[in-house]
Amino acid sequence: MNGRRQFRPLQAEEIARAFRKEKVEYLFIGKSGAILLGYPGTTQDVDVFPARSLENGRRLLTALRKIGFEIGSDLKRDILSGKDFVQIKSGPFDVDLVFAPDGIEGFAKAKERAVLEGIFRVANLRDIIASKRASGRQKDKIELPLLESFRVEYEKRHAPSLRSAKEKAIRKPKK
Amino acid sequence: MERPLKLRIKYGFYRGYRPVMDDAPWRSFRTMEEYRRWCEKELPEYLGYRRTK
Repeated sequence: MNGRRQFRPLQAEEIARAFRKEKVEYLFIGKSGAILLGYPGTTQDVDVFPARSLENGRRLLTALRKIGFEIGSDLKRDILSGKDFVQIKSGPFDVDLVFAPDGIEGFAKAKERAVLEGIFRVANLRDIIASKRASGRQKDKIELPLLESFRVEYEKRHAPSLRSAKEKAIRKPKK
Repeated sequence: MERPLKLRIKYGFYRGYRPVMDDAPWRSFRTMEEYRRWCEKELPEYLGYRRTK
Protein backbone atom coordinates (compact mmCIF):
# COMPACT_ATOMS: atom_id res chain seq x y z
CA MET A 1 0.00 0.00 0.00
CA ASN A 2 2.91 2.31 0.66
CA GLY A 3 5.76 1.87 -1.79
CA ARG A 4 6.85 5.45 -1.45
CA ARG A 5 10.22 6.44 -0.17
CA GLN A 6 10.17 7.12 3.53
CA PHE A 7 10.82 10.55 4.96
CA ARG A 8 14.26 10.96 6.46
CA PRO A 9 14.76 13.64 9.11
CA LEU A 10 17.75 15.02 7.27
CA GLN A 11 15.49 15.93 4.36
CA ALA A 12 13.84 18.68 6.40
CA GLU A 13 17.22 20.27 6.89
CA GLU A 14 18.08 19.77 3.22
CA ILE A 15 15.04 21.73 2.10
CA ALA A 16 15.79 24.58 4.51
CA ARG A 17 19.43 24.67 3.42
CA ALA A 18 18.51 24.58 -0.26
CA PHE A 19 16.04 27.43 0.23
CA ARG A 20 18.64 29.46 2.09
CA LYS A 21 21.28 28.83 -0.57
CA GLU A 22 18.96 29.84 -3.39
CA LYS A 23 17.63 32.79 -1.35
CA VAL A 24 14.04 31.57 -1.53
CA GLU A 25 11.57 33.78 0.34
CA TYR A 26 9.42 31.30 2.25
CA LEU A 27 7.91 30.26 5.56
CA PHE A 28 6.98 26.86 6.89
CA ILE A 29 3.30 26.90 7.75
CA GLY A 30 0.57 24.44 8.66
CA LYS A 31 1.08 21.58 11.03
CA SER A 32 4.63 21.08 9.78
CA GLY A 33 5.44 24.61 10.96
CA ALA A 34 3.86 23.96 14.36
CA ILE A 35 5.85 20.72 14.72
CA LEU A 36 9.10 22.57 14.04
CA LEU A 37 8.15 24.92 16.89
CA GLY A 38 7.65 21.96 19.22
CA TYR A 39 4.02 20.94 18.77
CA PRO A 40 3.88 17.20 19.51
CA GLY A 41 1.88 16.14 16.46
CA THR A 42 2.67 14.27 13.25
CA THR A 43 2.24 15.11 9.60
CA GLN A 44 2.95 13.72 6.13
CA ASP A 45 3.24 17.04 4.33
CA VAL A 46 5.78 19.79 4.42
CA ASP A 47 3.75 22.97 3.96
CA VAL A 48 5.64 25.89 2.48
CA PHE A 49 4.33 29.44 2.05
CA PRO A 50 6.52 31.04 -0.63
CA ALA A 51 6.45 34.71 -1.59
CA ARG A 52 4.64 34.99 -4.90
CA SER A 53 6.92 36.47 -7.54
CA LEU A 54 8.47 35.19 -10.73
CA GLU A 55 11.98 35.54 -9.33
CA ASN A 56 11.11 33.69 -6.13
CA GLY A 57 9.38 31.01 -8.19
CA ARG A 58 12.60 30.49 -10.18
CA ARG A 59 14.64 30.20 -6.98
CA LEU A 60 12.11 27.77 -5.57
CA LEU A 61 12.34 25.60 -8.69
CA THR A 62 16.12 25.50 -8.52
CA ALA A 63 16.07 24.58 -4.83
CA LEU A 64 13.47 21.84 -5.24
CA ARG A 65 15.31 20.30 -8.19
CA LYS A 66 18.57 20.31 -6.27
CA ILE A 67 17.06 18.23 -3.49
CA GLY A 68 15.61 15.69 -5.89
CA PHE A 69 12.15 16.84 -6.99
CA GLU A 70 11.26 15.91 -10.55
CA ILE A 71 9.67 18.98 -12.07
CA GLY A 72 8.45 18.82 -15.66
CA SER A 73 7.42 21.71 -17.86
CA ASP A 74 3.73 21.79 -16.81
CA LEU A 75 4.55 21.79 -13.13
CA LYS A 76 7.24 24.40 -13.69
CA ARG A 77 4.71 26.65 -15.45
CA ASP A 78 2.25 26.35 -12.55
CA ILE A 79 4.88 27.13 -9.92
CA LEU A 80 6.16 30.14 -11.84
CA SER A 81 2.67 31.45 -12.48
CA GLY A 82 2.06 31.32 -8.73
CA LYS A 83 -1.11 29.28 -8.59
CA ASP A 84 -2.63 29.45 -5.11
CA PHE A 85 -1.85 25.82 -4.31
CA VAL A 86 0.66 23.37 -5.79
CA GLN A 87 1.02 19.90 -4.32
CA ILE A 88 4.15 17.94 -5.27
CA LYS A 89 4.69 14.26 -4.57
CA SER A 90 7.41 13.57 -7.12
CA GLY A 91 10.27 14.15 -4.75
CA PRO A 92 11.92 12.68 -1.69
CA PHE A 93 8.97 13.87 0.45
CA ASP A 94 5.58 15.50 -0.11
CA VAL A 95 5.51 19.25 -0.26
CA ASP A 96 2.56 21.62 -0.53
CA LEU A 97 3.37 25.05 -1.93
CA VAL A 98 0.68 27.32 -0.55
CA PHE A 99 1.01 30.70 -2.23
CA ALA A 100 -2.20 32.07 -0.71
CA PRO A 101 -2.94 30.35 2.60
CA ASP A 102 -6.43 30.88 3.96
CA GLY A 103 -6.60 33.35 6.84
CA ILE A 104 -3.24 35.06 6.23
CA GLU A 105 -3.37 38.44 4.51
CA GLY A 106 -0.06 38.25 2.70
CA PHE A 107 3.52 37.06 2.75
CA ALA A 108 5.12 40.35 3.84
CA LYS A 109 3.02 40.64 7.00
CA ALA A 110 3.46 36.97 7.84
CA LYS A 111 7.23 37.30 7.41
CA GLU A 112 7.34 40.18 9.90
CA ARG A 113 5.78 37.93 12.54
CA ALA A 114 7.72 34.79 11.62
CA VAL A 115 10.29 33.07 13.81
CA LEU A 116 13.59 31.43 13.04
CA GLU A 117 13.79 27.95 14.58
CA GLY A 118 17.29 26.68 13.90
CA ILE A 119 17.66 27.05 10.13
CA PHE A 120 13.89 26.95 9.56
CA ARG A 121 11.85 30.05 8.85
CA VAL A 122 8.48 29.33 10.44
CA ALA A 123 5.27 31.33 10.37
CA ASN A 124 4.03 32.64 13.70
CA LEU A 125 1.82 30.15 15.52
CA ARG A 126 -0.99 32.70 15.46
CA ASP A 127 -0.82 32.73 11.66
CA ILE A 128 -0.67 28.93 11.51
CA ILE A 129 -3.77 28.74 13.69
CA ALA A 130 -5.59 31.49 11.76
CA SER A 131 -4.92 29.63 8.54
CA LYS A 132 -6.21 26.34 9.90
CA ARG A 133 -9.28 28.03 11.36
CA ALA A 134 -10.07 29.72 8.05
CA SER A 135 -9.78 26.46 6.11
CA GLY A 136 -12.72 25.03 8.07
CA ARG A 137 -11.70 21.41 7.50
CA GLN A 138 -12.79 18.61 9.79
CA LYS A 139 -9.25 17.53 10.56
CA ASP A 140 -8.29 21.07 11.52
CA LYS A 141 -11.36 21.49 13.70
CA ILE A 142 -10.22 18.49 15.73
CA GLU A 143 -6.69 19.83 16.04
CA LEU A 144 -7.39 23.51 16.72
CA PRO A 145 -8.06 23.32 20.48
CA LEU A 146 -4.75 21.50 20.94
CA LEU A 147 -2.88 24.00 18.79
CA GLU A 148 -4.41 26.87 20.78
CA SER A 149 -3.31 25.32 24.07
CA PHE A 150 0.14 24.79 22.63
CA ARG A 151 0.29 28.42 21.51
CA VAL A 152 -0.51 29.66 25.02
CA GLU A 153 2.30 27.56 26.45
CA TYR A 154 4.69 28.49 23.62
CA GLU A 155 4.08 32.20 24.09
CA LYS A 156 4.64 31.91 27.85
CA ARG A 157 8.03 30.37 27.19
CA HIS A 158 8.96 32.70 24.35
CA ALA A 159 7.78 36.02 25.73
CA PRO A 160 9.63 38.98 24.21
CA SER A 161 12.48 40.01 26.48
CA LEU A 162 12.06 43.16 28.53
CA ARG A 163 13.35 46.25 26.82
CA SER A 164 16.64 47.60 28.09
CA ALA A 165 16.69 50.84 30.08
CA LYS A 166 18.45 52.54 27.16
CA GLU A 167 15.78 51.41 24.73
CA LYS A 168 13.05 52.56 27.11
CA ALA A 169 14.69 55.97 27.38
CA ILE A 170 14.91 56.29 23.59
CA ARG A 171 11.26 55.36 23.19
CA LYS A 172 10.07 57.57 26.07
CA PRO A 173 7.69 60.17 24.65
CA LYS A 174 8.91 63.76 24.92
CA LYS A 175 6.84 66.07 27.12
CA MET B 1 8.57 21.74 23.36
CA GLU B 2 11.50 20.38 25.33
CA ARG B 3 12.46 18.12 22.45
CA PRO B 4 15.38 19.37 20.38
CA LEU B 5 14.62 20.27 16.79
CA LYS B 6 16.13 17.06 15.40
CA LEU B 7 13.75 14.94 17.49
CA ARG B 8 10.75 17.09 16.60
CA ILE B 9 11.51 16.33 12.95
CA LYS B 10 12.31 12.67 13.55
CA TYR B 11 9.04 11.96 15.35
CA GLY B 12 6.86 14.60 13.70
CA PHE B 13 7.24 13.82 9.99
CA TYR B 14 6.48 10.59 8.20
CA ARG B 15 5.40 9.45 4.78
CA GLY B 16 2.41 7.18 4.58
CA TYR B 17 -0.21 6.68 1.92
CA ARG B 18 -3.54 8.47 1.54
CA PRO B 19 -5.86 7.15 -1.16
CA VAL B 20 -6.43 9.57 -4.06
CA MET B 21 -4.38 12.30 -2.40
CA ASP B 22 -1.11 10.44 -2.94
CA ASP B 23 -1.97 8.87 -6.29
CA ALA B 24 -0.74 11.69 -8.54
CA PRO B 25 2.82 13.01 -8.80
CA TRP B 26 1.55 16.56 -8.53
CA ARG B 27 -1.52 18.75 -8.89
CA SER B 28 -2.19 22.46 -8.80
CA PHE B 29 -5.16 24.73 -8.25
CA ARG B 30 -5.67 28.30 -9.39
CA THR B 31 -7.40 29.23 -6.13
CA MET B 32 -7.61 27.76 -2.63
CA GLU B 33 -11.36 27.51 -3.11
CA GLU B 34 -10.78 25.22 -6.12
CA TYR B 35 -8.49 23.07 -3.99
CA ARG B 36 -10.99 22.86 -1.14
CA ARG B 37 -13.74 21.84 -3.56
CA TRP B 38 -11.51 19.19 -5.12
CA CYS B 39 -10.76 17.76 -1.67
CA GLU B 40 -14.45 17.61 -0.81
CA LYS B 41 -15.38 15.97 -4.08
CA GLU B 42 -12.52 13.53 -4.55
CA LEU B 43 -11.04 12.53 -1.20
CA PRO B 44 -12.50 9.88 1.08
CA GLU B 45 -14.41 11.54 3.90
CA TYR B 46 -12.36 9.81 6.58
CA LEU B 47 -9.26 11.77 5.60
CA GLY B 48 -10.90 14.81 7.19
CA TYR B 49 -10.53 17.29 4.33
CA ARG B 50 -14.20 18.15 4.12
CA ARG B 51 -15.29 21.48 5.49
CA THR B 52 -17.52 21.60 8.49
CA LYS B 53 -20.89 23.25 7.99
